[in-house]
Amino acid sequence: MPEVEHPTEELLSALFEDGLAPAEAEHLLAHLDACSICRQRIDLIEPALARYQRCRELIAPHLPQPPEPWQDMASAMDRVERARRTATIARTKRAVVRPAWVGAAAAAILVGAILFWPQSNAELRADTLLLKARSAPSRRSPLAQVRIRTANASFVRPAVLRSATAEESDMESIGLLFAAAGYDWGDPLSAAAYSAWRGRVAHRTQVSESGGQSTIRTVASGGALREVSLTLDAADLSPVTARFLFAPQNWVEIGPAPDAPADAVPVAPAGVAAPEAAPSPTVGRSVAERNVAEREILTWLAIDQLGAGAGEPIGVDVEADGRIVVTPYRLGERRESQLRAGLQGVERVTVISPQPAERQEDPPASTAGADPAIDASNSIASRAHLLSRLAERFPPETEAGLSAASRDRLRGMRARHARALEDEIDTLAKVLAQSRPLRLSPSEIPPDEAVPRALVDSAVAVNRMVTNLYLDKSAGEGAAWQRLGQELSRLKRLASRYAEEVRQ
Amino acid sequence: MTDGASPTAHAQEQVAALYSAVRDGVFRSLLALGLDSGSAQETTQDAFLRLYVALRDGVEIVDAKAWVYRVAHNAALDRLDRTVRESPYSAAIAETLASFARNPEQELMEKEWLEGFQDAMQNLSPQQRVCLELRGQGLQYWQIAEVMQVRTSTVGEFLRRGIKQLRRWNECRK
Repeated sequence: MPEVEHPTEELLSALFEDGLAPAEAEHLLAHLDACSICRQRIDLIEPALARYQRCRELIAPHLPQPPEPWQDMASAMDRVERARRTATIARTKRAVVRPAWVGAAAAAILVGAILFWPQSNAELRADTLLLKARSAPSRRSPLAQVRIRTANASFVRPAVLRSATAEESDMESIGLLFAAAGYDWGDPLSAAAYSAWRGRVAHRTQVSESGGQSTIRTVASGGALREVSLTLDAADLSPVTARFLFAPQNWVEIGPAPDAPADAVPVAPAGVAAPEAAPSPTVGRSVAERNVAEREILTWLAIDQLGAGAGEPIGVDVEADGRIVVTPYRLGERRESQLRAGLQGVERVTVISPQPAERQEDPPASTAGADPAIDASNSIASRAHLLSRLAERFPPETEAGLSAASRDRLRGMRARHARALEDEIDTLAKVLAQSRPLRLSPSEIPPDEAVPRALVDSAVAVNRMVTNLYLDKSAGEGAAWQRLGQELSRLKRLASRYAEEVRQ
Repeated sequence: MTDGASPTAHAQEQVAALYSAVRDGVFRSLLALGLDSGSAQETTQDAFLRLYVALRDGVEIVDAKAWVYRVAHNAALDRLDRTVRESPYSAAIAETLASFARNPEQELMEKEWLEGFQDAMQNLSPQQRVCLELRGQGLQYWQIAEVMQVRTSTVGEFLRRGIKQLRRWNECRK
């Protein structure tokens, strides 16, 4: 073994006396890290270090102790794991262009207004939509024929094939693709075929709504059929189009044949009341409609008064006959009882209990989240969704038709949540600033910006950034942190604008 | 890693072991930096949780001990920017000196050292205090450099200046 060359005493002294050139200091300190003999030598050479060490020992009993018992790290890590799972689900959902609960109103027959869903996952929403689509009697004429398009072919065929006979080569080859993927080629544009395929493959789901249509996009984690998007009419949940992506890049689109009525006159099946005609925008709202809106406000107030914040996945459907159906997807028994009690004074409201397997435990009165920033940003996103829904369900013309009492209730609810939103944004900014300085810059919002919608987009963006920050600390560095500051500024401004509008 | 343990379980084991071993040291170094005990405890606990998240995400960490000290110190420095207060060290030194007065037999020399320490501490920069504290805790120079995110030679320079302060006071006392 080669003999170690120790630094001279002069060199050791120079380290703390006159200083050394950086390279020399690096070399010497590296040696000290590796050599216990020289570490002892330096303590002898520099008595101030030994004295310092003795003083450290002397004051140790007088140093303040931690004010609380040390956190149980095992439990804390478990909480982080739970938060990560929740965040991952939420992140998948947020990748959707538009959240599932947006824009599903406006239907004359069945108004599917899913409220308070920001914590829900797209799987639950998709399952709910498909279940309804499969079980609801179709209000329109079934399609006789569908058009099938691929990158290099387009043809029309019966919507439902009664035999396996393929009449054309294109149809045959496409049919083989479907067969290989285990997808029902006999009735491909149906919720049943889609559900059956989804049930067999490992997948992730996105749900979006736009223009009165709900699109469920399922991406398989393997197999020949990589992705299927089924678009349903939000009014009656009948399938409108389906788009299939087969490996490697073969796409197939199925939609109504050109001669099929674009919006067939609804035919009420036996036992189902014919829908009321949609009111003309130029005609005042009927008494019945106003009554529904007022009962809906009371329903929302009862949900709001659960005191659980805005994050509960509770569906509120307004049926064609004016009945309001409330589905508390995940409430525990105690809170469901509270909800029922709150709804007692509201006429024609039905509360559907969740399946026993889906029922959640009632949470304790106070639950600590894994991260205050995530908690705050989740709550902000939830509240922004709620405010957006209120704006969507009660536009000015609807609000104008309400009784004075209902208008006050609605405005009170909006104002309360607007204030809470502003407070939560301030809280989030403070929590974030504890980890590093956060610069909030003035943000201008165009006067014609649709504030409620922009509020949701901004809140979701902030929520995503905060979640990323929590899961990946490198996301909090430099530009990402600056972007978070900018988005939070914008969110704060939007919330302020919303609050101003409510006050007016 | 325990045979057959999942990455999650392994990360939890690693963090739990380190938490038991060095949390008091991290806490104390944050006191040396000037954080109050409540903030120091919160920051310490948070640093270990961050370590867990990083390990869980597969972040390659050369030295977990230095990493957790570094994260804690960064967070503490951010907090210090907004909460200027007397270092808990100063109060502890004063209390220790008061206890000396109640024990006349206490080594006179130690009392003098401590008085010198008290004066010197008031003139040390936070970096110098942290360097001395971490060295006192037995961290290697490269680890101190990692914690403070400086070159090892800079650690040497912080120490040199800190020692000069300590020495200057001793010389004045003589």
